[in-house]
Formats: sequence, C-alpha cells, structure tokens
Amino acid sequence: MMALKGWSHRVWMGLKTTFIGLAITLPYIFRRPYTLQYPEEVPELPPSERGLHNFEIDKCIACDQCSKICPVDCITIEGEGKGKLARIRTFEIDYTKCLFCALCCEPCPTECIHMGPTFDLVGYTRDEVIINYADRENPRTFSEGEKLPYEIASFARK
Amino acid sequence: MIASVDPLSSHIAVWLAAQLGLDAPSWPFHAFAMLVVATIIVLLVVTPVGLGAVYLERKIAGRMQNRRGPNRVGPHGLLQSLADGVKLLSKEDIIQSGADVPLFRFAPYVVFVSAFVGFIVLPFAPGIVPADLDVGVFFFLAMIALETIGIVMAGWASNNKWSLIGSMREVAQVVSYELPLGIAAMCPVLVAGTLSVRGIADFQQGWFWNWMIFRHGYWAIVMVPCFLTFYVAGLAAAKRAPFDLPEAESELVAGFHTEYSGMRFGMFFLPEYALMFSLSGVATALFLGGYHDPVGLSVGMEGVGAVLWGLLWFLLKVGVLFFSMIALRWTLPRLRIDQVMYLCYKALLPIAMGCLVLTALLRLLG
Repeated sequence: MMALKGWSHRVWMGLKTTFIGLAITLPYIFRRPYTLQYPEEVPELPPSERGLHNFEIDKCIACDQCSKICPVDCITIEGEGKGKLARIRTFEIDYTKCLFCALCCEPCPTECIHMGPTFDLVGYTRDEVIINYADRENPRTFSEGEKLPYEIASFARK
Repeated sequence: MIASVDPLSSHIAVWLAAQLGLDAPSWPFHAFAMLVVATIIVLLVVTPVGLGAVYLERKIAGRMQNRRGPNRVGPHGLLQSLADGVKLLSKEDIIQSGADVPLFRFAPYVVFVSAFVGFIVLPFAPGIVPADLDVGVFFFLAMIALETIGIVMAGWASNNKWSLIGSMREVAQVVSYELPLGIAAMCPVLVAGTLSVRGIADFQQGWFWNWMIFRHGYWAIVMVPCFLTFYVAGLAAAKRAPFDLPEAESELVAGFHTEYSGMRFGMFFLPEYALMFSLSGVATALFLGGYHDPVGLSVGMEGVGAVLWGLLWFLLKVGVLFFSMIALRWTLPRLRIDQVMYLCYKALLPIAMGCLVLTALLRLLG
C-alpha cells in the first residue's frame, strides 16, 4: 500500500511539475522578444559609451602622452614642429589591439581625443581596422547619429 | 477528390499503356505509375509539412526564449527551411572510412519512408484518407516501429561509438514505449469496435461529448489518462525532447546521425517532424474526434464544404497537439535513460493496462 502511495505521488508530481514548467515558459511566447534587429535597430547607448575614438586633428599638439599611457601600445604618433606649435602628421589607432580603456583620453593636455559611441568596425584585412585619424585627405567619416568631435568635446566640458 | 492512392496510379498506368498502344497495362506500368504518385505526394504534401514544421518549431522556440527565431530569409523568415534544405542538398556527402557503406547509404531511406508512410492512414477530412486501411491503427504502430530498424542501421554502419550508443538507446526506448502506445491505442479501438482510423474518427461524430476523450462525461476518468499515456508514449516513440536520448547532443554529440552530413542528415531531420505530425493526427483521430467539430455541425454536411470544414478542424486539433509537443520540448530538461525506462515500465505501462481493463469493463456495462 505504501508502495502504491509513493508511486501515485511520483506520477502525480511528474504531471504537476510538467504543467508548472509550462506555466513558466508559455507566457514568454506572448512577450516581446528582447532581440534588437542590428544593424537596422541600434541599441541606446549611455553618453559615456567607450566606442571608437573621436579625434580633433587641429587641437592635437603631438605630445605623445596618449601613446605613452596606452597599456597595449595601439597608438602610433608622428608629429612635426616643436612644443606647443607641433602639429600631427600620423595618428594611427590599431583597433586589433585597442581595449577601449579610455586611458588615452585622460592625459591629453588639449582634450583632443575622446571615446565615441560607434562600437562596430569591420574589415576584410587587419590593415582595414587600423585607422589613421590624422589623414587630412581621407578624413574618417562619422556615421549618422555619431557625434562630431567638437560636440563630444563640448559635452565633456560641461 | 483524392479518395485513395491506388485508383490514381492505376489511371496513370492505363493512360501510359494506351499511349504505347497496349490494351491492359502490365505490372511495370503499375509500378511506374505508383512511383509517380508517390513522388507527387512526397513533393506536394510531405516536404511542405516537414519544412513548415521545422519553421514553426524554430519560431516558437525563439519566442519561448525571448528571441525572434528565423526572420531573415523571406517575409518573417518563412523561406528559412527552404534555404536550409538547399544548403543541405549542396553540402558534401561524407562517408567516413570504416563505415559499412551500403548500410550507411540505405539507413536514411528506411527512416524517411517509415516515418512518412504513417501518413497514409491519417483521416484528413471526410473522404480524404490516402488509404482507409481496415487495420489502420495497427499499421501506423508497425510503421513507427520500423523506423527503429533504420536508426539501428545508421548507428551500426557509422562505426562510431556515439552513434552505436545512440541507436542502442533508440532501440531500448522505442521498443519499450511501443507497449504503452499500443495498449493506450487499443482503448478507443475497443470502444469503437474498429481498427480503421477513419472508422474511429467517424464514430465520434456529433457534439464534443461524443469524442473519445470526453465520451458521455464519465468515460473521461478512463480516457484522459489513456490519452495522456498515448501522448507521452508517442513523444518518446518520436524521440522528441524530453525523450531525445538517442540524439542527446550534449552527451552523444548527435547520437545515431553523428557521422551523417548533407542531405543524408536532412533525411533524418525531416522524419522527426513528420512523425510528430502523424502522431498528432492519429491521437486526434483516436481521442479528439478526428475531423469533426465540437458542436455537431458536420452531421449531414456533404461535398466540398464538408471536406474543407473537416480539414480545418483536423488541422486545428493537430496544430494544438503539435504546438504542445514543441512547448514541452522547450520546457522540460532531458531525462536520464533510467528515468525514461522507469517512466515506461513503472508508470505508463500500468496506467495503460489499467485503462484497457477499465475500458473493457465500461464497454461490457454499456
């Protein structure tokens, strides 16, 4: 008799727990999925998002501070001139290395380098993800919605 | 109207023979005509059902997990299954060294054919039964059992320990679950007094209390456990989660189809959904009144209207069962093999036998 009681309890629990499980999973069918349809839908990012850099060529004095502080040595700088009159010639960030720590933004004396909101960069070769921000002939174009460098700068100064 | 497969094929045979100037078609003509009919059925009925089922499963699974499911190929991802099919067709067909090549090649066909042959006893609508066999229920159960042979062939021919373990599990599981499945199917047969699936469906015409599961109200005490037994055993016989031990991807890689690639893999993949559909169809016909609506509107209906009305209700009921199978898969974790055996021999089999005895008693008492 005890065996029968235990058996029927187990059968009942098997049935009951199945329906408890279904009661948990089935309501999800009627909820909106969380998935965003990237790239058509872009997630809302906080203003402090650390994406690809925004760089203001005209402010940069090629002081090499950002390159020195970079923990992975992803910034290559070549400048011409001396002191405060120095002007940048090459400013390359190697995004195969960059870890988006934003340490480069901190020591900049002229506040010319900022972290932007763009988080996607694709290329077929490694060279395609090394960006030269100081290339005046082919300046890096900013995608729609991405703030221009001076806008970011004014945001940062507030 | 398609009444059965045979007349159509004999029409084609006669027509072919006439084209060649012969009076009566000899057997090669009949064989060829049957092949043509079978091809048409596979292309027009079986493949869309399989592809549609795969799409539904992925879509529902996605929504149950807060995802969207396929939505890139075609509107709402409707062509995803088709794209996957094309991909499978164009893949390299790999047969690894050490395999038993003839068995390896033959196994997918056995599984494919046995899963789809079960369709011919399904009563889709009044007058639309591919083959109204007198032993329909028995035939259907036999065809489910036949699938096991194909899977054992696949597991053995693969020369791979995962595949062999998978196919051994399949044998242990499916052969065990045949017992409660068959015994549970006997209860409606006892009540209706016929083994023909169409006959049992027609027996339940009228209001929903004529359905086997609610029969006269008090029969539900027997028939609801009986239906649940049939349903669970059917899940196990179709290797659906939580009973998908033969292919348990986390333990056995993919079980019996580890070594299969390309379209041969597809031939293992589609029958799973076909079996789900045909099991839902048979469960509908045996317990849920088949193609009859719940308020007795189908009584006295005739012609195309009756067919469409019946088809609608059949697909509706099958759809509900099909959906519940998918929902269960994405709800329950996979059982252990000893739990599977426990459920079969210690839970479902006694319940099914009790139901059979009670049904017989109730039938005797009127």
